[in-house]
Amino acid sequence: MMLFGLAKAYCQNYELKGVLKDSITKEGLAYATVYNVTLKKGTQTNSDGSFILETSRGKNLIKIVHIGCDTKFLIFEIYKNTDTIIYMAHHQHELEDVIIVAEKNKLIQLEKDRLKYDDIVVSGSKPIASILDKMPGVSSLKTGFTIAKPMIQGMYGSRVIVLNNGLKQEGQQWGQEHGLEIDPYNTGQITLVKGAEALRYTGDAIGGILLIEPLYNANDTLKMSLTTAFTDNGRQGNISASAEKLLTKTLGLRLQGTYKKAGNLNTPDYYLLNTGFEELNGSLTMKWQPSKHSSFEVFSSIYNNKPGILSTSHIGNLTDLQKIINNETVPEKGSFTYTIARPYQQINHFLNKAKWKCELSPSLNLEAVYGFQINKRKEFDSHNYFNKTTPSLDFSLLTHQLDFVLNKTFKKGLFLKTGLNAYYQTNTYIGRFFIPNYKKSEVYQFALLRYKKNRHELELGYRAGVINLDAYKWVNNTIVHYPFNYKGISWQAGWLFKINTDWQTALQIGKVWRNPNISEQFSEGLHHGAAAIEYGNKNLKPENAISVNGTLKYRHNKTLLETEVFAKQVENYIYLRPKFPPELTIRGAFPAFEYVQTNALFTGVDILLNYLLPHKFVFIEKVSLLNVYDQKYPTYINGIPPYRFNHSLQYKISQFKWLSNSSINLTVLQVLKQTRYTNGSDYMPPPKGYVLLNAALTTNFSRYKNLLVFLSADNILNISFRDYLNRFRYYADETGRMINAGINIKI
Amino acid sequence: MRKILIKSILIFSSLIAITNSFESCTDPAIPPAPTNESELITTLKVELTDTLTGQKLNYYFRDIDGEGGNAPSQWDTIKLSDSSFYNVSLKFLNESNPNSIKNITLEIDAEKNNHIICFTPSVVNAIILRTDTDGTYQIGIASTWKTGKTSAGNITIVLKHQPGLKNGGCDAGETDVQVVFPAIIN
Repeated sequence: MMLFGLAKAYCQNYELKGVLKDSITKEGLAYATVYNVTLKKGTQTNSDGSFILETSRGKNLIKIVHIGCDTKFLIFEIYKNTDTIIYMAHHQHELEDVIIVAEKNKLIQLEKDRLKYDDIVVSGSKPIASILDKMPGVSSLKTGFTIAKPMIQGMYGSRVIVLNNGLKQEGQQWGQEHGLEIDPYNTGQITLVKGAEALRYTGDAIGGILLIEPLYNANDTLKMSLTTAFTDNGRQGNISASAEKLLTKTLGLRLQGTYKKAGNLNTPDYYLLNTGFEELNGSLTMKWQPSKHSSFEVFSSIYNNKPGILSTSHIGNLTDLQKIINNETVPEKGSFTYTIARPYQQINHFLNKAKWKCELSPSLNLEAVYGFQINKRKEFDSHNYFNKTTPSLDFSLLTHQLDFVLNKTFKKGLFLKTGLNAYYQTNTYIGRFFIPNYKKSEVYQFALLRYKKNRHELELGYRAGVINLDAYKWVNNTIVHYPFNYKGISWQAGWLFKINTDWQTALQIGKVWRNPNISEQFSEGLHHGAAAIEYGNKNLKPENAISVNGTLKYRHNKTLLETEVFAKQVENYIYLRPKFPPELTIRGAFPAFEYVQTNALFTGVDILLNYLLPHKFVFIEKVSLLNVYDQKYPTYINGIPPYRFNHSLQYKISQFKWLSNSSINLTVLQVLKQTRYTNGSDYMPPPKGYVLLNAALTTNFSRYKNLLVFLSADNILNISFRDYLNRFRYYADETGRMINAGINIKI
Repeated sequence: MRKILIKSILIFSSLIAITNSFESCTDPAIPPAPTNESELITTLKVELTDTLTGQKLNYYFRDIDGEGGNAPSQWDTIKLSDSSFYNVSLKFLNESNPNSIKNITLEIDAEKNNHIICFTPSVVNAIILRTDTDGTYQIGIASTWKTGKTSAGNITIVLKHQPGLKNGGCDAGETDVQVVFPAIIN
């Protein structure tokens, strides 16, 4: 036995245990490749930057490769099992910082739910919701070609909450044709949060929460960044610039602005009339840290957009719609122009946030947030007979938000977050009636408890709240007051178990409730943008959802696999259903829709697979499957995303001649036809499935490390197709080939 | 530490105060003023004059609350004499506010380059010809109706808005009005 032991010691390779850290932030660097050149054996760092590498006795040449860093070679002389810390100089600190902040607070969180700055900046030409659908399980619900909003596992609208720098983005919850009014160029990272963490912000996000975090990393040197991009389809030009610096030792400032302009988009066969837009955005971030224990932050952003609405959608009535559906009228071929004509929208979103954080003791801190938002939306219908310059519809939504949050870390891995949220919101309109004026106040109390021990992590949270809503509507020349009161509790429980270094599993269960929103209750009249008459229902009951989801993660050498299986039982699920017969008006008959309730069961799977092929190729597969069952009626629910597959091949080169950190991505996006459809339940059956070929290329340069060049092409084969999740699928094809090129320079 | 704490609280609350005062400039204005639906067409009036007898006939389609809501309040059957000749003039009105009825026909006439009215008799024996013009194409606010033998069917009247698209036909553009009147000739 002794002999055997000695023999083993003699031939044994030693273990080099290490942690890879960022040279500035001192945080661990995840998923870097650590390769022993001498032994020809390698490994990948874990999420905390740790790794274990086999080494031989004596000198070992170790190579470390990490995205955004220069490849590093180190020589280790090893005579026993060794521990070490390796520091890497990193290019994109601003990005990494944001990720780390998010990581600290989050528990049950998997990689697939995150988009990084690199992904965002190269697709900055698109509306932010269209960038989000790179995540498995997330799709975008579109109205035309300039307005998009996110949809998570079939849930959208007020079932998906978007947090813009910690504030609930107010304005996008209403109808489908209200996009996400956020500038992608100021976005450092987007995280999809499900589970107990979501309860800190909201209790009605059945779908989940999208955390959008802006960039900020001011230090002593002035840092500037400039991004410019051009897209051939729509001849869209973008320019975005930012500057940041610590003005004094304690006060930092970041300024940022973006301008975008686009003209008519085109499908493979014709121009989409009046699909241009013009956007001008700006933001200011100020952080003041007077002491180690107290910090103060102000964030203000303004978003202004004027999107044109496809004018062929602004058809008259059902006769016109039938003609278009039956292809009796060929869409007008049109021509290119930057001019935005009626119908169009004019949107301004002003967001202002003040946050104060104070460390009362090393284990206890207090956070206070005040938020203020103005959302103005003007809709200009196709034409007005009298007032040519006034909008047909003019909304003004004001929201105040106040949060107090207490974070307490106990010994033995126990963590508590508790606090209060209050909202006050008013909405007023001028013009054509669609949604009444209202005021709404909401107060919530929440608490989250987390416990970590060994390989287990547990979390438990609840959120209780009351909502008071007063709506005022003119009925026969008198004001009618409609008061509504809602109260309820949402809760979540989660368990994460690290089975071993390769396998990890998580289980979440929760109950969420959501009160009907104002458009579901009150909308009444002609939706010009959608050429449909919509009817709300004041008697809608709140939705109650029980959701269960299980995730399994596997990471070993060349493979990363993440699977999420979910089931959501939604009682009183509210949706917009086509109403027959169509409505007769002076303009002829119109398709009509009404908000109805049913019990629905959402079940599905989201899969992400990364597999490292030989020669540095990576195969990436993303799958989103969703089935929805109506438990009350023998029909299918409309507007559910069809099965979606994303097959891609990625090739990354850290150094090739004068190029560095280059990456080439080839993607085949496959969307099947939605077959779960009841005949005659919509004015047009779901369109056929489609397959698109997309490609993207990004690279830095060895000599100019601060220069990033990106080139991408969507729908390379220039295929004509329609998307079931686009409300304008009745009227026109989706866009044809779209080539986008741009650069990002950092100084 | 305490000083900084107090300072922070002061700044934080003053910021809230500033934004609050900013907000008070834009009054939440609840409840709202009555809506001003300026672009609405609620009523189509068909004014017929028998060229022989001078008899005047008026027929209406009325939907005072606009699209959706209540059903049309008036939807006449057009009754005509056989083998007659009528001069017809159309009126498009906004009667949503009874105190201020707006004649939208004037606007249509002012934008005659962008509008056309189309008449389609079905089964009923009538020949309808537009008699006014924008200089290049016909408009249709004024027309002549010639009736034949006793018959019953309907007459569809369509107002098309054709900004930059007008070509004399009825296919292009957006439908502003489309009313199917039941029609009887006896």
